[in-house]
Amino acid sequence: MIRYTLRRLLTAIPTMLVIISLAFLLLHAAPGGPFDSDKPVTPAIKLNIERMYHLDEPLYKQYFRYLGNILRGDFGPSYQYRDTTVNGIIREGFPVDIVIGGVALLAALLIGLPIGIVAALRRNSAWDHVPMGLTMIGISVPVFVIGPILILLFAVTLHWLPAGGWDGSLPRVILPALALSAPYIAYVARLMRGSMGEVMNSPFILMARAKGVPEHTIVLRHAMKPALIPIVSFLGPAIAGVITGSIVIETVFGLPGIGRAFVDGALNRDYTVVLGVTVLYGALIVACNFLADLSYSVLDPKVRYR
Amino acid sequence: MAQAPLLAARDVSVAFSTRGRVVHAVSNVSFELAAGKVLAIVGESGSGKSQMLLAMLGLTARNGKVTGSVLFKGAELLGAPEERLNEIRGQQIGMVFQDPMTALNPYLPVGLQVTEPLLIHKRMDRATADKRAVEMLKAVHISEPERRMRQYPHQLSGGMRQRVAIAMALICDPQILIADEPTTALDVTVQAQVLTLLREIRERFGTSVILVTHDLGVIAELADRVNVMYAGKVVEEGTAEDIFYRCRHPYTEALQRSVPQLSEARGARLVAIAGNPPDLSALPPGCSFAPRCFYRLEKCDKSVPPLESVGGIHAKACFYEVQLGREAVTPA
Amino acid sequence: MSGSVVGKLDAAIVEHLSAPRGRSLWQDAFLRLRHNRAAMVAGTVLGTIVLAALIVPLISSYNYYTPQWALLDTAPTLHGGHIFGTDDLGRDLLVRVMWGCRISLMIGIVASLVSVIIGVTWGAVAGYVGGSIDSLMMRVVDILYAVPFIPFVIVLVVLFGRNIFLMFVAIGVVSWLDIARIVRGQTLSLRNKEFIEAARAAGVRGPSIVFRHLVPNLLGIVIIYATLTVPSVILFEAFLSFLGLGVQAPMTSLGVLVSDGAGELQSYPYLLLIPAAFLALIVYCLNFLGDGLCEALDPKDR
Repeated sequence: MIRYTLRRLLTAIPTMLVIISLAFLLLHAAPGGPFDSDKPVTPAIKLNIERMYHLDEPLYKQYFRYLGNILRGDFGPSYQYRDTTVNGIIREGFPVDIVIGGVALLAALLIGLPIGIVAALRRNSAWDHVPMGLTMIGISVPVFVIGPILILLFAVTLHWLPAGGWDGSLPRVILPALALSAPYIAYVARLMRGSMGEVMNSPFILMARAKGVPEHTIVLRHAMKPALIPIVSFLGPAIAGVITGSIVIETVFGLPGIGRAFVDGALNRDYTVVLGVTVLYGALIVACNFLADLSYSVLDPKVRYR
Repeated sequence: MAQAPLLAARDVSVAFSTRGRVVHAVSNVSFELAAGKVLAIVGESGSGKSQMLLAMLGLTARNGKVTGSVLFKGAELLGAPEERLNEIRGQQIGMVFQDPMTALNPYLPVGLQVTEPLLIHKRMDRATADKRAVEMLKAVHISEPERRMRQYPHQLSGGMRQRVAIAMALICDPQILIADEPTTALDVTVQAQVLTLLREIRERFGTSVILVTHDLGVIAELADRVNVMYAGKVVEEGTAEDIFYRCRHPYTEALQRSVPQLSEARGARLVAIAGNPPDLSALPPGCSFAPRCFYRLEKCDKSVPPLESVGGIHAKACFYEVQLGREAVTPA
Repeated sequence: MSGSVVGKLDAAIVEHLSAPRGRSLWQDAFLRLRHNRAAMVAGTVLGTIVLAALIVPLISSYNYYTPQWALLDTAPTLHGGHIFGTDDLGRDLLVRVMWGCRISLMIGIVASLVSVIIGVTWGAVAGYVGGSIDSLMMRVVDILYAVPFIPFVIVLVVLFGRNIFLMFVAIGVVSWLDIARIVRGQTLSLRNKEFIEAARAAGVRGPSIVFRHLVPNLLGIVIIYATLTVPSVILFEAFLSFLGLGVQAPMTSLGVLVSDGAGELQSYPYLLLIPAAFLALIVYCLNFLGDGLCEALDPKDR
């Protein structure tokens, strides 16, 4: 078990290195620099600015400087907003994403799991076809379509919820989280349907029936653990998807999260912001996959013992 | 005599419909099981024996149709409501499946699985149930039973798992134990142990046993009555002696002959039954075994031979009238 | 855009498809697909849309790029020219939507092809060669898997400009990972199967083995995968367009149309709803078809 954990950790390091290096190289390989769009300056001043940000140094030096900083937790200053650091931007914007992403995932699990279980138990009935058809919509309609439609429906027409903006209050979380969760509800429901369906056809379930175990006990005690395994594996990429999906949600609902900062940074050649957010995303994905792997071992005793 | 049998099956048929075809897994099977006796059902894979058992407990798959009657202590099992069936399953009728690897839930500890019937049927508390379970594990000769209770199935050997399955089936003191090919997935030495165990169970607890197998050696030791099934029908039934020394159906004879004997000459060819098992969705109009039968007569292809008594409880479903078997003279 | 495609291709299908069945597997699968009413309906709807996308722009009297200043933002009407209405530059929405379908489908198919080609090659080589090369290649896949590709693609497109070719490459490069893994697993298990040994023993040479024995068995999975990748690619392209990073005006794709329409949602909802409906319909039908194919080729589903 410990060896398993260690091995997983070890793969994380080269992964992070690759992410950081790729991002770094891409940014610096592209035409144009961070200060190109600014007001035209005399060459001397431009040189000074570049020296201040170490942009005059050879590439490999910049690279190692950056790596060193990251290890100390410093993402550097923002090139765009001279008085803020990337860490500051992240600190301000990240909580927004965490809240919305968290609520979205919670909704995905709380709504998707029961739908999937019922669909599996009543295969090929209305309980199966109707929810599966509806959830397919969640997968087919992109978030940036669902978002505006939700706004149109709940904010503009019904006036139940605010249309966007952020003040940390619950009503402002609901619509974005709902829009974000739509495809995930669908994925979780379909995954659970397939997984539970497969488990219920296992010989050991037949055995449980032959022991006279009532159906609800079979589902909860015998089938749940193995059925959840694919869901747990899916949580890794799901969290990653929710995090990167925040980019769209923030644009649609006008939320001040780091997705917005990222897109702005990309458009404005704000290297450090883009790098910082990318590295953060990468680290989160790696961490989530790692956690998903660990919880996999909690569910499957064969991984745990020996 | 004249005591009502514990279990009486009459004309049970199980048919599955899939994609326009109907598969007749079991056709008009009848048998009786008296208290404290062992009934063996013999047949190759696909002969319908397992489906017969599942049908009795109401465990047939959703696309299967079961007809006929199965009386357990006088009450009808087929079509009974699920609550009634759940009371009987695991408590009055215990079942052991063929493959212990897959019959035990790999995600739950052994102890929980063994005590489950007690918790559900007898509503025992955990502590008492655990104690009972340990006793049961000891009774089936599992070493270190307390430790085993906390382990998971994959940590036990195949033989141990099968014994756990048997303990699980017996823990509520059922009146009938159904064992579906209990030794098939195990090595020979373990097989012997399991069989000894079954014999012990019958003697100690007086449990009736339905033993399903395709291994003739297993029956010789244990069975009071034997039913031979082929293509979903019973083709011969009788005592173990009837089947071994006085068999009357070509299929039974073929089964016996296909088992190599130590007394045979070295280098003698292994005898296999010619042909292939029939397609259960397209059974021939006459005897199902006819296409592979050495003694086939013309009328065998035209009508299904009925099951007729040939003395005592010995009955055969065959038009051929001569006694067969190893001692009888067989055409070369 | 998560690992959902892999989730659909579970080990059972992989195992089953590696059994050498020749043509009867396809016939059987095709028949099963026919019985799947949802998939058949989806296929028909899809076919209709494709036909319309091809034909309508050819026969309509309007084109997708000429503004008609007198007819800005007219609502859909059944009589009088503009069945779907016009957009904010007075262009006929019907034609634009049809062009949007064309472009989106084209991007979807081409990008999927790119990812399939890369993925299959990578996976087949890794699986067939085996050993440390295989480990290395799969390590690369593992690491790339963790890369947050949406940010990367955004960065790519922002930095290198919005041209369609780059978008194909970006999308294709990112989605080949799943299929590479699956193909590699398949190749590994196929490589050791008896029928390959038999073929070799009968004197069939290397390339022949690859083409006549390995490829047909891989085909099934590749087709399923491709059918399921196209919709996710289409959605991703729509997403890029929404961010302003996709197809350039005046050319349009469904994503661009949706993005434009989203801005006018309150005043002219049809500008969003109609292209969104088409986008959703196409993706929906593709997903159903993919599902149907999965079930048709999966032996366990009765």
